[in-house]
Amino acid sequence: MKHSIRILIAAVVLAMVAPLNALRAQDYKVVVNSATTVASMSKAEVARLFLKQDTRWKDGKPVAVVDLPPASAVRQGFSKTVLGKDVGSVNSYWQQQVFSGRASPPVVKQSDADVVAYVAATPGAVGYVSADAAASGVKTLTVTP
Amino acid sequence: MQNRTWALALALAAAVPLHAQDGIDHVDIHGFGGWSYGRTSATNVYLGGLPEGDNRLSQFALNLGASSGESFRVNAQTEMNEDDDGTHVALDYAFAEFKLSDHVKFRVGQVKQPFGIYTELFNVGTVRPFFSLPQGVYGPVGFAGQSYKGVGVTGSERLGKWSADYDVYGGGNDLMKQHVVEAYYHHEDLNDVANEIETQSTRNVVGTRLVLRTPIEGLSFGGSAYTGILNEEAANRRTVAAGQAEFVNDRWSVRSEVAREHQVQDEDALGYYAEAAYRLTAKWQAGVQFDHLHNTFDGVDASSAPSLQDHKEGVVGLNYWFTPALVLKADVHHVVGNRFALPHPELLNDIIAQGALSKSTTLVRLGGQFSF
Repeated sequence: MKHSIRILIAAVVLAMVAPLNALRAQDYKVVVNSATTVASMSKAEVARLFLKQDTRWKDGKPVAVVDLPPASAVRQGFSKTVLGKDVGSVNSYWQQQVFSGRASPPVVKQSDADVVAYVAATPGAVGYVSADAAASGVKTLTVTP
Repeated sequence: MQNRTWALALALAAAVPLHAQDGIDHVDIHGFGGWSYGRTSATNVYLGGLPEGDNRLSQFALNLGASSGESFRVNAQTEMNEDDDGTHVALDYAFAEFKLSDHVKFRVGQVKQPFGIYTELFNVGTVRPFFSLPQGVYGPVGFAGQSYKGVGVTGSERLGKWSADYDVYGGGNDLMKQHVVEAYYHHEDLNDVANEIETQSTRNVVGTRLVLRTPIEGLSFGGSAYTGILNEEAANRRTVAAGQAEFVNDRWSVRSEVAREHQVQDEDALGYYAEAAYRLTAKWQAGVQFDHLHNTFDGVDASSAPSLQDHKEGVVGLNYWFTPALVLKADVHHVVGNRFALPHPELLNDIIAQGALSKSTTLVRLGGQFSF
């Protein structure tokens, strides 16, 4: 019995000290539809696009945002670096937007290739993929601090 | 009738993806729900918890959004709750929105009332650290309705490194009010108080909310206010104002609100709360909350049971988040005062006459909440 209690306590302590972000974040690059005229944006501007706080490009055309799945290490890196929040906090943000009837979360594609295909085919689309992913048919956006 | 309404909503939800109308290019289906067990001390009932314990507290809501192009969107949400009184079905909101720009969006229909931090998210358990909202501001004293029926304008504006979200609206709203205390003070037959929570309707409502988001990520301040005329014979004016402060990041969520209500020749209320929650790990979260409400009624002698005017509460909670969409919660509440924590209405007169009204109540609540 004492042994079981020790194991239980150890498990609880391990859970308590586990880091918030268990996933290892990966580097990313932001890709946009090739017809998009913008070549460079700041992190804050990109964050506003991905949180749908800005829904138009500077030329007035609508933005179509695409995400990777919540479990993706690339999404984890993008979320912390650009949005300034972990994926859980971003999910909570979208729950608030959905249930208050204010906005719906971005389309989710399962892989880098799916994101690139969506961005290439959708006018005004913007997404992110791993830094070493093939990105033919789309433009890579320079993201400044 | 309620069951038919719910069945219709489910049938529509099931049919929408298969038979989306021409012009509707995107349909979202979301929902939330939960279940909890609640047990109170003494003879008092609070937040659905009963002295003998109650495991009948369950809830499910279905949320639909349909977009046509970039500018037009329809949103609707219906909700079903079960408790010891039976099953209750309600339309939370159903409205259309036309976006002129990110700065100006026009809304018409039954719209979630923009008031304070939580009114638009009233029963969504996965966006807050505790099972229930802090009763000092969100309890059934009627600071705000869950929705307004009418027209509104909403939008956001960047102000350098700051930004502002605003809402302006007009129409009518329905408030949920716990009627037992007022009925007791007015010597009404408490056996006739069929529903402990009654709906109070207000017309000619005009209201606004302004939230300022600071350059410090997650820190915001805001204020809300509205006024209207009660849909009652006396047609008294009702005015409510509130202030809010919030700081949220990956580990911390800290919130506080204060609300003041004045109903001419009827009642006054002042409530406030503060809550803080901390993520110990990605899965575990602990939280504390304190809230207070003082509610007075004009023309009554409250001396026989003054504690019915007050609510003071402390809560501690521990949550385990499987994912951001599923959480198990355990809360312990200690309440002093009987504005919300009190015996069944039919027993209230006898218990007060015997001097047996317990002014303090402890509630233990366990369960889970989810969303998708």
